[in-house]
Amino acid sequence: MTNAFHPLTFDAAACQGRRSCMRACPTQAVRVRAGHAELLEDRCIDCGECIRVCEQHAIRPITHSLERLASYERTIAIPSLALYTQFEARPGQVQAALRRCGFSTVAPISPACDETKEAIELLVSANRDRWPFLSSDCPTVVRLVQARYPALVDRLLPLLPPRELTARRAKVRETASSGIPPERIGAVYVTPCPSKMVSIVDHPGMRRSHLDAAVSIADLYPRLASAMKRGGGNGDPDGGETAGGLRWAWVGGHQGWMSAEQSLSVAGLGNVIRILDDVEEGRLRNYAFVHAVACVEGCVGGVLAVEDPYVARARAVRLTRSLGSPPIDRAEVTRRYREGEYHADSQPLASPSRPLDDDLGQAIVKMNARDRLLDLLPGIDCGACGAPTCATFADDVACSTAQALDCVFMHWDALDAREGRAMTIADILPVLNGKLVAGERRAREPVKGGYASDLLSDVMANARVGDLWVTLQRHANIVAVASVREVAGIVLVGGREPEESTRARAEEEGVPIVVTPLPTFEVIGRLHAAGLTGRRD
Amino acid sequence: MGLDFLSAGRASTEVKDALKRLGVDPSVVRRVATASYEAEMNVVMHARRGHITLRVSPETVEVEAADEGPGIPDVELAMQVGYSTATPEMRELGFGAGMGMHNMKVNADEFHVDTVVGQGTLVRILVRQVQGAR
Repeated sequence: MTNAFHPLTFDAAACQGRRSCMRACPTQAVRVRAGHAELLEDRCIDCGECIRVCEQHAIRPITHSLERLASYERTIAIPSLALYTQFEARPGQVQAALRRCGFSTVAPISPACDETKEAIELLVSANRDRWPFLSSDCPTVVRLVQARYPALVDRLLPLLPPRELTARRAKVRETASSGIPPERIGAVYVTPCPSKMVSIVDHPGMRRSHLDAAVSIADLYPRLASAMKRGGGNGDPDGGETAGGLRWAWVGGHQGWMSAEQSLSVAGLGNVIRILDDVEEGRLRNYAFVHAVACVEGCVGGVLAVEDPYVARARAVRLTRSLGSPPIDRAEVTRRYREGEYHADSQPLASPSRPLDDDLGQAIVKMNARDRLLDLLPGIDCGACGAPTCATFADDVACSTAQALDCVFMHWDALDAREGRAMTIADILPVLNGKLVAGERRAREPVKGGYASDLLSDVMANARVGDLWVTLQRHANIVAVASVREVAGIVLVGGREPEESTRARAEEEGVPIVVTPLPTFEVIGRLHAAGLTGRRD
Repeated sequence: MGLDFLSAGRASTEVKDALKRLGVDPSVVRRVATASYEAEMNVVMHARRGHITLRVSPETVEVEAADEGPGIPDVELAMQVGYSTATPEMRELGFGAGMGMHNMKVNADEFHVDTVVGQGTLVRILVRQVQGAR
């Protein structure tokens, strides 16, 4: 999946290559190379688990800073319901504190949640042939469906997530009351996770957002906590939030939610994947709605929430019991539903991950190679190679983003296998990430030692028969020297390709030439480690 | 393995994932995954043990389910929609609609059943690839 934007950055300086992120990633989107974690952008679905587990804090979320508020004439804070579970306080108090932090006004999400719940019921009862529908308020789940379950993209709710509906309405209201045009009003979501950034920042294939920015709960927390100490919140203690609204924020909140039809809640991407497999294979058709979220306790346990997820969830349950449940005017909701007020203006586009190869025949060849390699691998998922599992590593080798000998066990096996047999150029190719560009017919003859020099006369004087000559010289004369001295072959370093005349001559005279991307020092080190020395005694 | 409901369905999910990775046309993936699920469930419900093999070529996708089990005494009867040999316990889990063999047949371009009572059953499902640009 080609993604322009991921809401996280990897700090190589702080990274110690401990691999917690690599192991935690539910889509195997992290590799460790040269001791540092790297993101495979086309596999990342922005769940932020890597941020959660890194003890060095070397992965940081990208969200908007509070300074951004200054670029708008008026700002509307739209807090995720998870925000209220970060404090032992009534929502009204939290909202008052938000205003003290610089927001012009606060718009509660609950009314949109309550109405959307009714809209979902209207939608599912009229579309039984499309059961089960999938929730679309968690952008990570949407990304997962786009990339790995593209056939299910049409099952995503065609309705706006409550935060979007709230943003649209709040801006209209604010414009009407203040006269300030919508472009100068900032609708800012207070987010428990970096994933929501993906739905806000303009992105091809995702819906256009009514929100202008997302500020992280973690960033806001210190200012908010001290603003709350100053007391206040004289209006409605519920702040317009409702029990029905809060139910969206914790897993299990939706249980028993729908009046006639059945709904299913699932959290945690491993679990979501299993449920989506079931849906894709034609099961769970007796469920009208699957509410799927990436974070294990729901949004209250989001990566950027400060409170422990279980404490937050306990608060959420208590808060749900104490908040009001104003009656919904069903006739009004039905009227608005028919006018399309709850519908999103587009569906997310399918964006399936790339297959092994665009040509099916080649893909089959690669998969067979991958399966053969998997049989040779130890199967202990140690992670030393920088991939989270042996199966993932085998996939990487099949796609040429890793070499089989990157696995330490394969490396040792290769050394063992040669016991009693002399090393050949064919043996050293994987060791040097090298390719043979000439002289293949002699690549299986024994290599006896090594010599490194870039001065031709030095090589003429000191290289021995059967030595591997390591050099950076590319011109055709190296072939003559190699022939005369009867070296086993030439290793060209630093990715230098031989000149065409060199290559042609080497082919003619049967002189193997290996091209390696590695520099000389590294080449010699690796050859030594593989058992080839230049000793003369 | 027979009656191993914990793992039931895992093999056909693996089949589906492998086909997706190969970039096989989604309509083919859906048909093969459905047929392979039914075949796998038959092994779990009725046999002692079995093996599912997936063969992919640029022209066809083939799933073969071979088991050691009771065999099918009357294949034609088994193919009838609504006929089921599911036990009460299995029905409680949602199985036994009597659609299994039928589902396999309607999703396949070629469908073979070889069975010996007292020994076991082999079911082979072949689906032709969709040709054309990807």
